[in-house]
Amino acid sequence: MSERMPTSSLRRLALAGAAATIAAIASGGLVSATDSAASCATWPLCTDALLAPGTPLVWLAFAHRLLVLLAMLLGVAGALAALRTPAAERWARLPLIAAPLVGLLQVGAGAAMVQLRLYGAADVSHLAGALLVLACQVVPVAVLAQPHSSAERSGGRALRSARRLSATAWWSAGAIGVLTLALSARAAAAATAAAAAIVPANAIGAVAVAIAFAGATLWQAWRSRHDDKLLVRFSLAVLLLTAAQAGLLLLPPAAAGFGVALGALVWSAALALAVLATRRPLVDDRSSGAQRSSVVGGRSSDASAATSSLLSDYLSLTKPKVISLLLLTTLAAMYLTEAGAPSLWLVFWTMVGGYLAAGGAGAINCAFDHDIDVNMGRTSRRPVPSGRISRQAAMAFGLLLSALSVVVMLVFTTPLAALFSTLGIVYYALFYTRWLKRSTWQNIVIGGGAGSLPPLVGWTAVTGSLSLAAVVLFAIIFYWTPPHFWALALVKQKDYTRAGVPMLPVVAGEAETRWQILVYSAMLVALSALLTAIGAMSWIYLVAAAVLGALFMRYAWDIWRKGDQASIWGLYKYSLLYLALLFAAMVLDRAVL
Amino acid sequence: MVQEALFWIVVAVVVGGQVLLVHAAWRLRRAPVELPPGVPRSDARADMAWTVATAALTAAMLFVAYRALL
Repeated sequence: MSERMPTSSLRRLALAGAAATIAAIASGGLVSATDSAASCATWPLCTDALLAPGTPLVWLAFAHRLLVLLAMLLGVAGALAALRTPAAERWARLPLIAAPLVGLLQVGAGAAMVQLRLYGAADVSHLAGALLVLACQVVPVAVLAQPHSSAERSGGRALRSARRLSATAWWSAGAIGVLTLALSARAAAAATAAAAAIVPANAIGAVAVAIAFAGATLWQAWRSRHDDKLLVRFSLAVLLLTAAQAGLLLLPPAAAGFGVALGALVWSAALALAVLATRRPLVDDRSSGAQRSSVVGGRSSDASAATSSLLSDYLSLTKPKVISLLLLTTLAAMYLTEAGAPSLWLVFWTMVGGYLAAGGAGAINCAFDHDIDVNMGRTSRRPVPSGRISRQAAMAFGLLLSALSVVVMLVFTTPLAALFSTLGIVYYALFYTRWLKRSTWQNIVIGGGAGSLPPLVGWTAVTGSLSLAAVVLFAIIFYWTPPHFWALALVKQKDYTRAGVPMLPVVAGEAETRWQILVYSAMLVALSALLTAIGAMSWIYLVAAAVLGALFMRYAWDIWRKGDQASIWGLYKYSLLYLALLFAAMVLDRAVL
Repeated sequence: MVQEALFWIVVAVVVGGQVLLVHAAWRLRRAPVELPPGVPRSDARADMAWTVATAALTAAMLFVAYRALL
């Protein structure tokens, strides 16, 4: 341990490990597509088959195991090198150290599947583990290739754009990972292995979502980092590769494994892009849309830039970042009902209707709240307070989207889902925005009801009726809302005071807010266990809820005891992750048991 | 058995939490804080009503859950 390795050696080892892992994944895909796993019924050496006359299937299965062994050895070498390179960044070292550990679990899972003859299950869950190992190697390669840039000289607008690009790129990578699994799951869709159902075999939907995210990343890169050719071209390449993956749908389901190699490559590229988007240096504020049009003389009159900026402004009225979490809870609820997995078209139209409803309500909120937004640093640059879009236009846009959402929900889902969706618009745009927000410190407690409706929309879109489990989902988000928004209110207290919004920290002080955050957090964590108590979820969800809840309580406790900015921001950010992971755990529980 | 135990733990935490919240609303009603200029003072009775309504609706949900357990 006393010797130190240069980071270049670490990068080479990580690259070699990633290449070997991709080769192992590709060979695993071939094993799946040719059904040759059954040719090697013993593990790890496939001795029975090797003693008998060899066949191509046996050699294929055996070669896969050799490639896995090579990948494991390189993974261990990478981990040791990471331990011996303390000068390297944490995000280069930690994933490399984790890679062989994940790989060991992966090999163990592979062995169990061979022993238990769950060859179908291997297609999805085994691949998921392999993609995770690959991520642990690709991310360090990209991190070591692109040192983190200092953003000290960049303005707030450029930084916000950079953060948006980074977030979109990471979402894109996640969607591409799910797409790779979904394409592979086509082979297992008819299998009886329960584990094969962990990822819904809804490959067409996964293709659409992945292309949408990859397209959004390219658009965001072009819009905010136009001068960074590498980033824009890399984004374009990822989009094209993702679109190419759609061609794999033409393969017969049983041959889906042939496309796994492409999936692994696209997954690697998407991860590398996400790292680059996070770490590439910002040129300067001139690269951001509106300022670019006023600073860079010749291009200022460029019509496409102006159109792009206007579209971007209208899109921002719908608050897409907020909506993404709402839609996640809607989507998850659709997969939790007793009715089983919904059809692709129902999911698609519910998502479209949900986006229109939430986006419409958000735009109406922007029109009503212009007087508040203009006084708050966080919102003063929104299109309405900054004068880029008039209040009337924002209101008309919001009403149009809302009307469309009602039509879409009524025509393509169920009346009850349309009712809840419409109730959400009225609740948020009128009840919360026009009354609660401006009149009581309970504004976000009672107003939280609006954000709690999406699971009911998803649930009733599938079943057409309500049930106790759906109401518990509503309650979980309802009790999640106060800790989440009060954490933000603690940070932005001065803004709320200046805008005259009676948020709890403004009217009752920080100590009271910190105390109530703790109380609400405890009730949230308790209520999250209610799903298991009523028999809607099993121990898998309960364990996940307990672990996630314990972390939530730790953050809430820190806020109550310390009340410093770090703990407040910690809870605010973790609460977003908490809700997403909690609903993911529900879907996993329902899929497995 | 385990489900029932879990249910009563949930009830205990939620009831305890709601008692604390009602007490907090009562405390804020009796000792209003000096507000910064421009920030409206909320109606203390309405604040209390919201708190009690939330507690009542949560209790109703837990009651339905209890009935489902039987």
